[in-house]
Amino acid sequence: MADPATFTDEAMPLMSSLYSAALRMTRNPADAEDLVQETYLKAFRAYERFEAGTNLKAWMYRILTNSYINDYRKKQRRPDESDIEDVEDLYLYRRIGGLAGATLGRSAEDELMDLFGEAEVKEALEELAEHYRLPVLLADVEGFAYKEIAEILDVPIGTVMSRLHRGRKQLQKLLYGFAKAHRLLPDSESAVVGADSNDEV
Amino acid sequence: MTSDQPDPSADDGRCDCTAALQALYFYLDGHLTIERRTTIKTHIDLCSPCFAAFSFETELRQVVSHRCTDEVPEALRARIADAIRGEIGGGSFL
Repeated sequence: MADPATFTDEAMPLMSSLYSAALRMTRNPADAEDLVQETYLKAFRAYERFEAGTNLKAWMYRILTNSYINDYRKKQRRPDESDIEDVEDLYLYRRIGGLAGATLGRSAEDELMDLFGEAEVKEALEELAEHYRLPVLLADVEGFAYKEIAEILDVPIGTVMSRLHRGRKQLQKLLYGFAKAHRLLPDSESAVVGADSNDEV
Repeated sequence: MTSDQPDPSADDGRCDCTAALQALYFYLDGHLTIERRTTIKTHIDLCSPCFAAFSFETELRQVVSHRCTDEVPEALRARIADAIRGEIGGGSFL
């Protein structure tokens, strides 16, 4: 049992990470603010039922995610986010010539990473279909383990793994689009070698 | 690539690049058994192309994570603190 008096000290430091996640989910600052406030109020009211010593961050994320799914998602549903075409592993790396035999210069890699500023990365994440976006956000931005993500999203761990895998590849494809738009990368895909197609777990 | 480096497409058991690359995300996620992790680690330490690929993915993940922070508006912070204070009812706050 958690002592309500500790809620402020324990939960307030999590706000910037919850707010960032809320922004990626709702893609709208006003909704993100409301979602975070709702999450804190729900969490405070349920705090006595939170088992002290367990992962508060994961617990708060579960409340955030559930609130988002129940109250916000319907408002801005996209036309139809059916499964998009899958892409191969190491999508981005292959496109800049990695694994092709030539040693990839550090500078090519650094230049590429420099292209991915806040705006580009956020936009790419927000472009992802929701069932890919949430696992990628929870794993790669927030650092949750598969098991925690499965609990937060209430889906089986195998589903987390396969969505994460495909979501990451889609994210790379979107980032590649930005890089190409900056003309840093060749249009041709001739540099790509050894594309394999193992996808689903 | 110099001739003494293993060919990433070769699967001769000595240097199983395909297996290493397939395990890449699980490795980075810390979701491999200790034995499997050790096998992969031994491989990438010796295989430059795989090492480079693993490094690339590690760096990309760091970039994604670091670029996704947002400043919480002060007004929101204050609003939430007020709302919680209101819930507590002024009595036993802190």
